[in-house]
Amino acid sequence: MKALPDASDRALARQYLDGSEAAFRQLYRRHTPRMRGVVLRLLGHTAHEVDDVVQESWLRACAALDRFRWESTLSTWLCGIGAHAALEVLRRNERWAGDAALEFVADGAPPPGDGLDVTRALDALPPRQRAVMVLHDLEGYTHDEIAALMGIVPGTSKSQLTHARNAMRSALR
Amino acid sequence: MDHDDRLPPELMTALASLPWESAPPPGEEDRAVRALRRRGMLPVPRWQRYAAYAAGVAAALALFVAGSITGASRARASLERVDAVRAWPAPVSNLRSAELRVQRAGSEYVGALVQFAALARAHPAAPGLADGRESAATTLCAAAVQLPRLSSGVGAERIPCDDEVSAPTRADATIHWF
Repeated sequence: MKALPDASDRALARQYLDGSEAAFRQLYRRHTPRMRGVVLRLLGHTAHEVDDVVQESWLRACAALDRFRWESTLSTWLCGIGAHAALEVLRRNERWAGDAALEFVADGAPPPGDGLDVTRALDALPPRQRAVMVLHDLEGYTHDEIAALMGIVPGTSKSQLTHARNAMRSALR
Repeated sequence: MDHDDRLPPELMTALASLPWESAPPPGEEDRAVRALRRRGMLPVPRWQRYAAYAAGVAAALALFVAGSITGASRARASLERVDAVRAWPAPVSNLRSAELRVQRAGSEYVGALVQFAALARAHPAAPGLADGRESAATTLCAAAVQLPRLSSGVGAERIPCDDEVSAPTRADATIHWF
């Protein structure tokens, strides 16, 4: 069965589950750029693990695709898997700051300057602050969802967001 | 500390300028497909299956041919050894093999005489008895003629034999048969 470029995600997923490589390739081309964008922002643009995380995310997604209930869009589900995998990498690499350091924003804040663009300012944030900001302000997660994803309490998520925003404001001023 | 969830306008503008998507580098799609195949989450294409079968058959054939050649070569060498053992008289190429040949011939000679003597006693009137005795004596005498050649002294006294000097008459000869 041929995977048509304009076929729905659901139809392509069904074809993939029937063993169609073309359907998988179609889904990959359709959703990888968005998923990679999330992973890139969470890990930082200098991280070399980005593509490994994207691939791992696809492997997990494909393994669980037959259990996906289509209550959200496939894109949202895939980005969630990507975010989860990226956070695991951050945690595994011990890039998290300790709790005491979390409150000490100035260390991780990028230096102020006119030429600093948003991407560099975001990359310069401490990983946990960046993760909270990306998930909340860019991906639309709630603090409860972020807390569950990152293994922190919602209050910590809120304070991290405040620190991140202040640091970003300083950097972009 | 202010935990306002609303995004400040200046940050909203800044973050809105961020690209949402990031294209994967070339080759990542194929890498993902290969990873899925390795984990059995995508079937291997038919041509790859056939190629794998063909490679397996070729490897099996190569193994068989190599085994046959090696086996044939070793069998040939083994047969040559057996043939060499069976060959008689053994080829004499050095003193050791000559000595072995003398030993073997001597054993054969003595064994033949024992058999002849046993048959002669059992059939004293059988034809060929006299010829056999003469052959045995002639052979022994010829061997005795060659013995001086084995001694280290040059020009050792030769032992005469009936084909070189006048042979003693049969009546004079006393032969004790064994």
